Amino acid sequence: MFNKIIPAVLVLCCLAPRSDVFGQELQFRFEETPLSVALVRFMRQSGVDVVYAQRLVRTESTSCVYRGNSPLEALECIVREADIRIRQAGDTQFVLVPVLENDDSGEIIYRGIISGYVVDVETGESLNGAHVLIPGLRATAITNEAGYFAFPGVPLGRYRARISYIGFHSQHTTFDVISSPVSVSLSPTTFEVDGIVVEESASNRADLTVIPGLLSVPMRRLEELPGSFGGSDVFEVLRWMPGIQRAGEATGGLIVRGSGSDQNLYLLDGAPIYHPWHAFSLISTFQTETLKDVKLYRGSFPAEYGGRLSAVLDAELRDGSRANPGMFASINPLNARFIIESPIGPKSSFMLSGRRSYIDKLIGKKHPVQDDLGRRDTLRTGYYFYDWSAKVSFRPTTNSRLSVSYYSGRDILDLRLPFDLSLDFSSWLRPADLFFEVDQAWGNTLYSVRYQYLASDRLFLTGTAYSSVYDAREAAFIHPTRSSSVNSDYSVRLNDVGFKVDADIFASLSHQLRTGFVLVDHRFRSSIDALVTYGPNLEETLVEREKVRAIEYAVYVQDHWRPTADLQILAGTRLSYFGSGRYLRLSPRFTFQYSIDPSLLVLRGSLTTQVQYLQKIRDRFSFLYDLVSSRWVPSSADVIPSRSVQYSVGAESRPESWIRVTADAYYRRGRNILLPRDEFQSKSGLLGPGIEVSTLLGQYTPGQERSFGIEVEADLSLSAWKILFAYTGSRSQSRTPDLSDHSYRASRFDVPRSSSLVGRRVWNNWESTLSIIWRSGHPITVPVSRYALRDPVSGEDTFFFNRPQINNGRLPPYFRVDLGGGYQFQWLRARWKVRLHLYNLLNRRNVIGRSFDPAVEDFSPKDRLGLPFLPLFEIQMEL
Amino acid sequence: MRVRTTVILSLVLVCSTACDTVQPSREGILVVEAFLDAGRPLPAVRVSRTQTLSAPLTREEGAVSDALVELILSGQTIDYKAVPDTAGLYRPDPLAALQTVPPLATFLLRVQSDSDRATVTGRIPSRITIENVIISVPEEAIEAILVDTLDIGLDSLNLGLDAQEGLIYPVQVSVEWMSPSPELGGQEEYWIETRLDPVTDFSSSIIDFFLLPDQILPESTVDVDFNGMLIWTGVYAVPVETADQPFPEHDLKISILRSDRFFARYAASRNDPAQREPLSNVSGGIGIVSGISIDSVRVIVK
Repeated sequence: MFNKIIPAVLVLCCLAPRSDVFGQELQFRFEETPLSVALVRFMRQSGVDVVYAQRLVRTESTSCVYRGNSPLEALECIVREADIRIRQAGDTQFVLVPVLENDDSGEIIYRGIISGYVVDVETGESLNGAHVLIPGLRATAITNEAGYFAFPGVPLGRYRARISYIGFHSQHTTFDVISSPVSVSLSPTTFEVDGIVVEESASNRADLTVIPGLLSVPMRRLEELPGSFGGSDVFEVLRWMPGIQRAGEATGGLIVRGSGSDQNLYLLDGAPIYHPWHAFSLISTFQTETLKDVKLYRGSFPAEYGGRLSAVLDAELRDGSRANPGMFASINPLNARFIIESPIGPKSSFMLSGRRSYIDKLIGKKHPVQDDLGRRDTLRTGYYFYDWSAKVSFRPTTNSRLSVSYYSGRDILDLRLPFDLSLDFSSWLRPADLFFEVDQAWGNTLYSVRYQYLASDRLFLTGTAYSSVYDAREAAFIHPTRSSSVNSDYSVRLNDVGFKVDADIFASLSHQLRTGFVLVDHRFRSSIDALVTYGPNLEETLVEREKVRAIEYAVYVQDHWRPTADLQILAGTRLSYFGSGRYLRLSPRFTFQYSIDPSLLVLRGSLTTQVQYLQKIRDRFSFLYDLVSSRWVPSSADVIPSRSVQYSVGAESRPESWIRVTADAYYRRGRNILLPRDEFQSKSGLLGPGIEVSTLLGQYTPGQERSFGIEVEADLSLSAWKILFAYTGSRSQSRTPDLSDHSYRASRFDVPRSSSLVGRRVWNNWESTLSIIWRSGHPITVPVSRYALRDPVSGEDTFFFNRPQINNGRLPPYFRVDLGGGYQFQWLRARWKVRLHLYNLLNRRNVIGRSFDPAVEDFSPKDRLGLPFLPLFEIQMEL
Repeated sequence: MRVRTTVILSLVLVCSTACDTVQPSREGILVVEAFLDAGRPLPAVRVSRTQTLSAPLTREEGAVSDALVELILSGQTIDYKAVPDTAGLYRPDPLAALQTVPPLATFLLRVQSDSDRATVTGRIPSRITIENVIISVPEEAIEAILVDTLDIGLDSLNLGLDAQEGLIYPVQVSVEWMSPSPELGGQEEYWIETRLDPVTDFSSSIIDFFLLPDQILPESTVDVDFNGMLIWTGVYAVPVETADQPFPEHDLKISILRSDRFFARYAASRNDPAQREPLSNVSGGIGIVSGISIDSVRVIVK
């Protein structure tokens, strides 16, 4: 019965004749009155809401006399002298808009702009990459780094919109065409909010990103994935994604699609980090909890990025909560860390984070010792690392924001130990005549200032200035006999000072341009002072200094074109000039996305080219330099910039809100990539050939690389369960034609098959995680035969292995199962979480290296084994 | 039908990208070695093939006895014949056996075995002669690290434990020789390998690492002494049991070898057989064939 009555009432209501608002009498007399004042008086007297932009009425005035009971007629009288038209948005609301154009029919069409910011409801932080859809216009927009979006040239009216962001509830809302940007708050899918008025649901759209291979995983999702020894680590959790591995078992940089880690660009708040590792590459400098956004572009990156061939990891520090102060602290076997964040008044916020290892605090850094003869000495066993991250954000107006970021991280190794080191502390803690001292320190320091400004509805500017320093020192004093010693001090430093401006131009509903320029001053410096004493009167010295400077300029332009509602095209190009060697390179990029069905199937494809002007290489002879540090070498007349081209296609499907499946295929070729001239050469001497760049380059030759593969990822969220499955089938190969090596061979990190599975279950206060990884073993060079050669001086025979092909074999497959568990509780008004991570649960000793001895008749390899079963813990506290 | 085709194509793609396509390597590569020592009789040539890894660890196992070996020295062709009693060894015809290797001559060595053909070209360096040796023995033994337990890795200082100290006499030896005149090739193009080989073995390669018992260096970088002669100084160690033990008398072989840069690359890459094989200058095979000049003296150090 009610089902019939209610629609009937609604129909009657709609069909009923509409009377003027309130029916009260209105009376105005304005003479050269500012229009803004007149409008306020009109709204106050009539009770009608008028929406308008201040800049629309700021310079206008009105002279009008009205007496009657029609608000519309009164408003028409007030604005009749201005170039403003009225649009009724409801019974009690009018919108004032400028007259823009005439259509062909001669009827005036009023147009305006819908713009706004998308922010996290919890912290107030902007959401970069959120997807805004207005079905009525069949138009979409993606928010920029400031969370800003705009739909220009929209006919006046009220539009339903849907805002989506991975990891957040989609929000349905309504936009009016007004000039002032609106603010849209999204709540995380893992965050429950009572009293939500708007409709929310987890997004099941598959077209939220245009670029194939882009991993844009919300930080909350990353925090759920199993971390490493150092707690939540972006590098460690990204390895669960397809196409990504780490160089070592638990160490090393990211290997993306088989390329070397120096082909990745690591950005923190727009500034590059050249050595993003701590603890001999065991953990990275990127802590998950300090970041608000991480994007990893695998091969195809937009025109705004450049300088690397393989991947871009673009991370942004958190601004700090604008809502409430908070504190996070944690301790695990490797380090202790904290994060503090807080609003500073209504317009500012800050975030401060610190982390430090503490093993040196447990065993001590300095040990004064004395022996029976009264000799004194101070032994040293210091190793620690630390990093500081800080960010202050200031919003002077709604449309501008200034942020200052700082990062400093460092590893310090300080040893003075006897050679006859023993685990028996009582015996080695004594003055030693024969000892070695190692003084090593390496790290990054970064400053970044970023200013974001909405210059107009259609123009958003971002300016970034930064300084990024990577420096390392390797000093050693070795005293192996009473008459010989090695005294060496090596340092290397790379300082980038950069300035860049990015402009988002919202040209029309179908075209969003992004353009900008970059200027970077690269300064390289290295030096060594070494003295090797072989005997009382026999010394060798090596004293060298080297300074290199290179200026890099780049301009880019990119159009995000939406020719139809189903098709998006991202086309752009980057023109760069490198002063050292005077190289001018053009890197066009083209990406498209075609949505067959926004949920069921979205196709993507790309063709991108990249240029890399800096390459990381190390001396392959001497132990006295480039032992733990990296040396970046700029392009020059002798070093041609490396280039790559990548073709990729991909598909994504989200048939239901609980499942997402992606598949990507790619083919990439690179050239002029520096590869070792002698793959078998390894460090074996003291002074070596020296540190001059030309000498170092003599150890390398330009090579070619190619890689191809497919990547499949399935992400399932089933009530309490979350499952992430990844499979990669790929090949990565290289060759050096200059050495007459014309056949491609497996490159160092070639992994034909790799798959991983992470399952996480949450119930009540408990959580458990099971993670399994299986992959092909890394390539190795296996001897195929043996032969003897006679020494011309001694006449003795020596047996050698013949290894005609590099990387002709492979280590056994790598397999590991980890189990994690966590329990969270409230105590002392804080939220606590205790995590236990069982690394290598099955205690499978994976083979991570293999060597052979040609002098032994029995040809059996000697294996180097990976880490055994390790129980690890972490305690977190959050206020 | 379309679905089936898609599935099949996908499987093909998966297999083609995932299958390990490492190519099998060849076996039985021709190995040639010969050293043409300036001023000395024509050398023997050794020809063999690489042996399978399961073969016995003997040189005779891979010897090739039916190869055709031909040396062209300064335009003169010299045939080599297999030595009946020594498999894989070839000597020049008896008529040419008394001939010596002329300094600065060019040479071409051809070896053919079955369908494999190896060739090497090169130049003989000028002769080198040790002019003087100066030996300095310390008065007392000094402490040193003895046991080779220090495994210095590339990525980290992977230090061994329980290395033991001992006592050594570090012996310093200087060797002098004449610089080659420009008309004899000049020293710019030559490399020098020096060696101090005591009869008494020392137990730790770590000591060798920090001392200087041998060296390979460009001859142009060798110091010149006040006599205008080139001089190189090295240090080797002689171990003793106790501090009061007198210096042990022993034989020392001091060698000096002049070569081109190809031999120097070979010599610098042959000292770590477990990690690598030496660089070869043989086209169509592996091994080393080079013009060299060696001089050595044996002295009693006491």
